[in-house]
Amino acid sequence: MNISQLAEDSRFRLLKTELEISRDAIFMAIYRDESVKEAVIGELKKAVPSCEHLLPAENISALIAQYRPEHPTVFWVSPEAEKDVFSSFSEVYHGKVSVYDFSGVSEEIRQVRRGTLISEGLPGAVIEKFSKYLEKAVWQYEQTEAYYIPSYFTNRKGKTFALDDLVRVFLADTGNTNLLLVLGSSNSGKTRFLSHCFAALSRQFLKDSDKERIPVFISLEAYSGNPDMEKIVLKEFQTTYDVEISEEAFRESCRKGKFAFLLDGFDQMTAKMNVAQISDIMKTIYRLSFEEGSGHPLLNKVIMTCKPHYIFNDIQGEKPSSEDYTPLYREYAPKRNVEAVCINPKILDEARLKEYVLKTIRDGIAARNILSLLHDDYILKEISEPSLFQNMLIQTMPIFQDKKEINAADVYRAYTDIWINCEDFRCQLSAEKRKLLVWEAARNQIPGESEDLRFCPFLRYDEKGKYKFTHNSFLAYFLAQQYFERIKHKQERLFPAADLNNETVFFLKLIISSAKAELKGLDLSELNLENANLYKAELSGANLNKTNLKSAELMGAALQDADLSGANMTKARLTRANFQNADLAGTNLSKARLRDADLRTARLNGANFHSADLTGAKLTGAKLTFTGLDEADLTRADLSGAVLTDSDLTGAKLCQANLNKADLTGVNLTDADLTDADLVEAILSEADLRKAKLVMTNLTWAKLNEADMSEADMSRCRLREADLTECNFHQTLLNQADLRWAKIDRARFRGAKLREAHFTGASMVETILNDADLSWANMSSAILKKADLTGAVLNVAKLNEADLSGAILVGADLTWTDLSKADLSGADLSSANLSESDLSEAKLNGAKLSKANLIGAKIENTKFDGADIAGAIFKEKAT
Amino acid sequence: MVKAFYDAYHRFARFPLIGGIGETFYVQNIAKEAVQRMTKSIVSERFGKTLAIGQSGAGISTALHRLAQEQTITDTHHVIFFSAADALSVTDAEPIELFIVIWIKLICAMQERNIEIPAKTFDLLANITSEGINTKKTETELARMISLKIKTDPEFRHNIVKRFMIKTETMEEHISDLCWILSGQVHAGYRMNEAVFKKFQDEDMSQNILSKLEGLKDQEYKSELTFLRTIEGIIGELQTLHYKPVFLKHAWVEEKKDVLIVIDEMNHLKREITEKIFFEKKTMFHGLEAKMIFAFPLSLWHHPAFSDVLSYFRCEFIRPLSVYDAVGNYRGESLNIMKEAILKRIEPSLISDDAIATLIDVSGGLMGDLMGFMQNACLRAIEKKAAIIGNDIIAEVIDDKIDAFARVFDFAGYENALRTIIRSKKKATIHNKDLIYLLNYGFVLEYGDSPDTLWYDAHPCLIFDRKS
Repeated sequence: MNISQLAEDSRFRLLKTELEISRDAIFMAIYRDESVKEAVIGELKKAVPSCEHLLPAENISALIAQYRPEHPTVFWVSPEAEKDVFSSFSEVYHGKVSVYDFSGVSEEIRQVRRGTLISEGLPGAVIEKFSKYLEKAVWQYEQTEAYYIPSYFTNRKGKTFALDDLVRVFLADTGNTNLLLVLGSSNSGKTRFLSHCFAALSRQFLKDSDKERIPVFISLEAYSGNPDMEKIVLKEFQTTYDVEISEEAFRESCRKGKFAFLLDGFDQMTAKMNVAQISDIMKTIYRLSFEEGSGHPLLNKVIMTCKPHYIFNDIQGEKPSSEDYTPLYREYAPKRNVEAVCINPKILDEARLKEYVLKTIRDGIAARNILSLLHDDYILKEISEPSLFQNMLIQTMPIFQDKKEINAADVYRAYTDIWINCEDFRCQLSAEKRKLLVWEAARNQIPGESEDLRFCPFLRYDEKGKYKFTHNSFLAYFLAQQYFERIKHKQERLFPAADLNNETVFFLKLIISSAKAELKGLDLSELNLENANLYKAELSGANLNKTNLKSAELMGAALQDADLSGANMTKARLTRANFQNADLAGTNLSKARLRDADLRTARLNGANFHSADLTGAKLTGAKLTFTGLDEADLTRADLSGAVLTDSDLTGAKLCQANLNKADLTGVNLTDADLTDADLVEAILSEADLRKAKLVMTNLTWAKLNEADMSEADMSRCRLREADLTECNFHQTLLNQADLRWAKIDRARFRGAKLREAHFTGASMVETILNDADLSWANMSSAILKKADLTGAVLNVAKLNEADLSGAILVGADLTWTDLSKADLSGADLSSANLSESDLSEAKLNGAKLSKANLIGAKIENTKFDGADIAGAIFKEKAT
Repeated sequence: MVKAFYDAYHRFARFPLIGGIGETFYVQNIAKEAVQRMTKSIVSERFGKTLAIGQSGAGISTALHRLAQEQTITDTHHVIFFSAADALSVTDAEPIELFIVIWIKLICAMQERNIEIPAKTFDLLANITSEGINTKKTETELARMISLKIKTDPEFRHNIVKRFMIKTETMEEHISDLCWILSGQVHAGYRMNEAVFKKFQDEDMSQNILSKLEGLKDQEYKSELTFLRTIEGIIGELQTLHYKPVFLKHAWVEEKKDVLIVIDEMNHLKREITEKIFFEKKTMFHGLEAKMIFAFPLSLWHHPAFSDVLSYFRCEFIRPLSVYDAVGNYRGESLNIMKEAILKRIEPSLISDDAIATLIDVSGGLMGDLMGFMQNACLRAIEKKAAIIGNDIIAEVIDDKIDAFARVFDFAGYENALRTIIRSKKKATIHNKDLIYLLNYGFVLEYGDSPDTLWYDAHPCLIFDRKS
């Protein structure tokens, strides 16, 4: 510092003046630079010779505190020594010493602190209200906010950095950048990023409300009609934070840098504004971070999200000229204090992707669906591309928060809708027109030149100057979309379903699946809907003629009145589907799952239910004539009143099925399982029940004339009053069967097991029971006229009062049999074993008893008139 | 113009308002209530010990000086007033040294009043100074010697401390003896106070003479001759002769006076010394048969150890004037007092109203700071050869204070606590140790009249925005 500089220095001049006018004061001159000190002392000695200059080396504070000057004295000390004097003897420092700073420390602190040393801030009550709200906001964010994936951006040099890091630097920077524009396309994670920032800033503020800025998150979409940002902020304070502060107080706080504004969705706010209006509102936002007019950067911070095209040009295929830059870019990008970055598309590894999906989509089923989509090799390899599909899904995922079923077509729709439904200053066409434009493109018709196509993300401008889809899957998707739209609006199809390629079929299937609630009465005939997910689809009245629904998921689908004739529903899952009045004639339902399906009044003739699972299906009154139900599972199915004449039920499971009054004439039930089934009054005339299982089956009043039940298991079967005329029970198991009052005339029970069977009152005229096992059977009062019981086992059976006139009982085992009051007149009992039998009051007139064993038989009042008892043994021979 | 600012510069220097200067510049309302309360308690309590608590610049010294000059006090007390900072070493004094200083001051007071010093006191004086009993020096000389050595000679202090550290009672006894002697002296002399004037009226003294004698009110004369000569000089020989019996009958006042020791600037000592005196040796003053008042730093009142001390002292607070209240409303009364204090020292034409208002605003109600600002402003006016102190000069003055705060404030350690205080205006929101620091160095000011209404705020210069 030279003399001329010193003369200009206000501190020097002031010290000089004070030394001149004071009598015995103490001064403390702070210095760091020896040359400055020397220069000042030199000049002061010349100007004020009486003044003394001391340069104490130690005990400076004690020396100054105790010093009693006789003339003005200047102590030359370091900034540290000044602090020491202050902290040891603040009274002396404040009251007795004049301090002059030649060290430059004051200027340094001024630079750091600017306006005030300690900012006064807002009143405590206001801070409390902010804190209260922010506490709640953080809690809500932690409870509800989805998983946060760090966002990245790439700078002009091509280097990629985390956006979080940029924000950290941005917030810490006290002078250079105050407005950060975070740009990103729809669903690129802008809002989520801003919410993440808001939560982080809120936590910081709650930790130290004195030091940190108050974070203020404003969703600008709600203020689309308001052109003044200051008013918006105050309104937001009022409504969200319950904070009422005056405009002056707000401006004052802004000036002191008390706020960090997080403004979300500038594009949504300004979607319907023109360029001039957008520019105006941007100015008011700009003012939030800067002192109007002065140009001095202050401490407020503004982070705003917006779509990139508001700032950057995104026209494809052209090298942008300066005219192509947006007005906002031209106005704000060159400003030192504005930073704009574009969020990079998120690329995640598998583990992070899974974590992202699980955190974003809270619904477990939906998350699982999305994850399965992301691992669907067919979609990733045959239809789309892994990176393309993953990117689309990440971008659109928030849309699927509440959707349980998500398929690839949904993803494509959500992604393409971003452009189709875009509404901002660049758009010239309506959403509908834009959609028609891409449909045209899908039909390989070059669309008309349109400005809107220039920023379409899935169309690219090729070297020949034509628009093409960036990936073929978009073409297939749009083709399928319009194909279905035509079906939906009952317009003529673009071309026959058979001409659709695999990719289009894939999307069409998914589109139909997505629109399954709106398929009522639509013509879906001949479409390939194999494996389609039509869970609970509304298909009533739909035309599904010859439609391929193989393995389709149609659980709970409404198919009433639908035309399914000729449709392929093999292996389709139709549990609880409703087929009332549907036409299933000739439908292939083999191996289909029709559990609890409602097939009442459906037209099923000629349908193929081979191996179908019809457990619990409702088939009341169903017309199943000639229907193939072989191997079908009809357990608990309701077939009451159904017409199954001549249908094939070979091997079918009808356990506990209700076949009450069903018409099963001529039906083939070979090997069928009818355990515990209800066949009361059913018609089974001429039915083939060979080897069928009819254990405990209720065939009361059933009509089984001429039915073949040979080798069937009919143990405990209820056949009371059933018509079993001329039935074949060859080797049938009928143990404990209830055949009371049944009509069993001329039936054949050869070799059948009828132990303990109940034949009371049954009509068994001319029935063939030879070799049948009727031991313990109850045949009292049964009519066994001319029945053939040759070799039958009837021991302990009850045949009291039975009519066995003319019956053939040659060689029959009638030991212990109750034949009391039985009419055995004319019966052939030759060689029969009647030992210990009860023949009291029996009529054996004209019976043949030759060689019969009557030892021990009870023959009280027995009539043997005309009986042939030659060779009969009544008593044991004496040994 | 420069001369006017030059005079004002010196008038704004920090000095206690005593004597003629005090009468000229003292603003009646400053610490008025505190002085009244202290006066009342001193008069009513026997051997009461009072702490005049306040922050630097709040006006404790002025209040104590006012108190010492109160007629009610001087009529009934031997006031011994001294500054601890002047009498003791501010860096390393021991409590016993304060005792010795009190003892010395009592000796000096007795000598001033021509009261004989007891022999044992002289012996002790001689002993302490190592002069020996046969010294030819007077008590005054010995006392001065001790005073000087206590202030300046560390070795001497060391020896004294060593010698008396365990004999505090001895010193206490000596002091109490002197107090007893001093207070036992019947104070007598001619003095015309209000009561005397009333009696004169009763004796039909003419109004003309009474008004002429008004100037001698409360002045004391030990000698009858001097008293009558003074009166003669005012009302003339004839009238004096006429009223002589009345004067001599009624103006003779006899009264007994207690000893009141007022120790100012205790807060100028190093904080550790003050803590040692009051916290460690809190019982030290209890046995002294004298009334005592100490200037006491507010920050120590907030010290956790103060609760133990509380029972030994009566506390009287002298707080800054509330220029504005806790919610920011300006208080006209305080503004007027501070404005009056300024305009008593400087011509109104030399400073703009705006400048006065701004300075009062940033002083935070601290009279000391206001005087400092004004002195700095006068200096700058001289340097700039300005005609008037306007906003430009005031801005520089405030910047000086802001810079000083910026250099010495521990931002890292206390910024948060300070912000909390600014926001809440309550002390409960910060740690006690932070509050002590902030109050001790004047970064935070305590306002209010009673414990229930206390509120706190940062010194305005810490939050003053340079731009505004």
